[in-house]
Amino acid sequence: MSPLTIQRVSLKNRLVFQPHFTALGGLDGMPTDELKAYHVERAAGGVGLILDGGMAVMPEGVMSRRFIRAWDEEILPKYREITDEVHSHGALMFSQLTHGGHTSLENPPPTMWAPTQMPEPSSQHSTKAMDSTDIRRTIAAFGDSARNVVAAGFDGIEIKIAHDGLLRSFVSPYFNRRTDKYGGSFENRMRLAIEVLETVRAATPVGFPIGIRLCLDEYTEFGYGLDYGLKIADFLEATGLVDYFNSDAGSFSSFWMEIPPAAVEQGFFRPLHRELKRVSDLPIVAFGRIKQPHVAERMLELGEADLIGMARQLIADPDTPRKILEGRPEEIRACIACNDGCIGRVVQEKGIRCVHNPGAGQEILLSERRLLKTERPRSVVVVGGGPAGMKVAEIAAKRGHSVTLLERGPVLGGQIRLAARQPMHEEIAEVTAYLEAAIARHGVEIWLNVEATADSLLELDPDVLVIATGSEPNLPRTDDDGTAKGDAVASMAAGLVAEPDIRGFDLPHVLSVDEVLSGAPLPGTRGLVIDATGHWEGVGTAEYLVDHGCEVEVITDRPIPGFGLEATNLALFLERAKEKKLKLSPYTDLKGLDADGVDVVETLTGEARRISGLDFVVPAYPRRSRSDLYLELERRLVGTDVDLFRIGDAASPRLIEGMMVEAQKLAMEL
Amino acid sequence: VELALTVADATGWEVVVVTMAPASAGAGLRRALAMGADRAIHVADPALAGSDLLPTSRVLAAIVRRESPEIVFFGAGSADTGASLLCAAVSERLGWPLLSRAASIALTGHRVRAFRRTDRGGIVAEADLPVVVSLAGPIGTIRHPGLSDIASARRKPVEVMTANRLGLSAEESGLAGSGTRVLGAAPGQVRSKQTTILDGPAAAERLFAILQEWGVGRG
Repeated sequence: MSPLTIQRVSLKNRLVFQPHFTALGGLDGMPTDELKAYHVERAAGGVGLILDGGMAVMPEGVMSRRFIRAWDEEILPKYREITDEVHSHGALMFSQLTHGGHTSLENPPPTMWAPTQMPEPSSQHSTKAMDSTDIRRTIAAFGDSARNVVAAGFDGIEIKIAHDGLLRSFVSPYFNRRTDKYGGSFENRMRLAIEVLETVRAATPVGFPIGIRLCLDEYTEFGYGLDYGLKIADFLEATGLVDYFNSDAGSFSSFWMEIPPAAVEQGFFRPLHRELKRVSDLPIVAFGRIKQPHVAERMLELGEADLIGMARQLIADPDTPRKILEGRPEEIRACIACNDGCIGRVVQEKGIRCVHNPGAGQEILLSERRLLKTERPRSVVVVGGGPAGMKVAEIAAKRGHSVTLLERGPVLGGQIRLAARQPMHEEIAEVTAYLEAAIARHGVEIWLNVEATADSLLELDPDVLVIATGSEPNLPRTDDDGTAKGDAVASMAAGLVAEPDIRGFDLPHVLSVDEVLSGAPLPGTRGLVIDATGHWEGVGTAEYLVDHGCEVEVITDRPIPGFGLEATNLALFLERAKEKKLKLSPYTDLKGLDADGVDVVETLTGEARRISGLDFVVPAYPRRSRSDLYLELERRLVGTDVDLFRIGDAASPRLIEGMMVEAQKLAMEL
Repeated sequence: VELALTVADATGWEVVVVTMAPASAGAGLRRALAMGADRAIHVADPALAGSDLLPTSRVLAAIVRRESPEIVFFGAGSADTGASLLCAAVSERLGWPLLSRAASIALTGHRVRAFRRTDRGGIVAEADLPVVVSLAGPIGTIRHPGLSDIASARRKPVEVMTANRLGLSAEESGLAGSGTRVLGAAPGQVRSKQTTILDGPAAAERLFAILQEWGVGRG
């Protein structure tokens, strides 16, 4: 956590908030109060340097309507506020300048500029081959934008030759097939980057730090690898125009390497910046799924980098640097690299979020820094120790309420415990690990193995009752004598919950996802998973079964099993499915099943097919709320002054993110 | 607590749980009350901060004298220093017999018989009431409170006690009353907490990679 000087500025510590698109800019490309609050939150959390997400240098280089317009003087007033407030916390802030070039987040995209006319292979849209006028205007635009961001109070500039945008497409031999002075030879391919650097240098004061975010390996079959990436670095450094390198990898055609999900191991990219560090004398920023302080510390000790770049870890926990500095690393809320809240949203031009930090991107409303102590402490009883129950308990206790949490099972965590058993999904356990530690720290009275009934809850004489009893698989479940089981019997009898209308789901060889992941004995090794939710329930369970020696087919009536997974997760799942011989059958509609087989219809052809030889079937269908307890309490509490709430899956089965926000908002209102 | 409650189940005696700890230690008392203890005494007094064996045993002996129970139960050791000497110090101050390292006990009339676990096996010993009993370790199944027990525990009395009210002077309490001084304390190496569940055929390989990453087993 020691300081580091780059040109005329000095960083107070070695932690850097890596630049990323937040979609918190306005549709008019202007900075917003939300963007300000987002960065100020990280500055207050103790980070040494904030690299603001890439700004476009000209209208033709805007990758999304929400990209900030670096050239426009209209951004100055708000950005001066942002940089001033970031500075007031002792952090520095650099601006990243970019031109979107052949990549866009809009669909259909506007005209995209490229060295050579061709679509970026991940896109079906072609590009415009830039003429000399376009090139001249682009270089000038970098200069104009640089002047503007200096005026906005930024402490440095980073130029993006990274996973997307124009400048990398010019240095890349695959994308740049020109034969004029901007292509052909290596030196010619480097020319645009060098002219941009010279122009930016000329537009900024002496000693103003200028760095490069450099893609070191495109990770495609057709693109360049590390050797070429290092050659680019070497060439740029030799010009004397560069003050630091920020390492980077991947491209739109290998976007799972740009923002690696949990399936990419932590530390995967260390060889890249280690090599860059070996060939370069400049300060190097490390990147790529770094979240653990002791790993970061070790990378610095070993001289693998000079600065540690984190984006998602600081989205998940803005206070990570402060917690490290204050010797409280066990309090850090670790990123789970699920990509659902952050990249999964911003590629749709929706404001950035984090599945287990409700405040991310919503700091104005939900910042943990801004939690107010309650003026009337109340007795809050939470039923259910899953993520929703724990979140409401954490925030209510932090605010000074007296909180009791009741969990029927022997451990906290709810469905997260099951989800964490799926391959490549283990890191989701961080969600419950954080919450368990937090509620203990904040003095929540925790009772495990306690079955809550309406009578016994009322004996506790609570002021507030929060029912977070979760959900159960929505499959028929009856005892041998035919009586219904579960925690939704009354809700179903009242017509508040309906089972899926599928013939055969009551057969004994039909297992729920929960049963499979809990380790229930399997009737054999040949299984069929029906993916009706698209997220991890279906495909993650199928992969779990394959890893446990089963032969599995996944059917879905949608275009692909795992259709609801965030794109980087889906891409890597499909790779693993291929390797593990997990059979995927898209456009396959389930009609019903009996003891001997499963009837489906191929929706593209209309043909009926029967899948036989199965030992078991696992339907991954939307779950049903365990709402009986809530409904009984609602009836019983009429006319009393007990406040009753229902949150999480008990209200509506969902992914974590939505219920976390719901739980925090509720706890803030108690 | 479980052992005391077993005795109480058979005799109808009252069970009082006592702790000398900061206010935050209330959770343990609440659990004991929910399990069935009748009342609790919480000696929570900043004047006692830093107490070693001497003032701690003075406090607990003073409470025992006031309550005059038939049996005083101690756990196997404290969560902080874990010296496991407190039972001996208290019985010495009281002049009561001590059955230490008990794995089980049986009460017959006015005699307590204990199976005492030793390093090489066990010893059966007995003593007349009143007696101090300390445990060798976990004793097996612990009763589990239901929500009604938790609710009724909230209505049970928890008496908050100070050194002064027990008749201890400032010189007898806390650091001043202690014979030892802690010069320094070093935590084990603190790692940030990370939960990783490894499963499936590649688990061993991944575990090896992680341990290598952490530098475990090097040099």
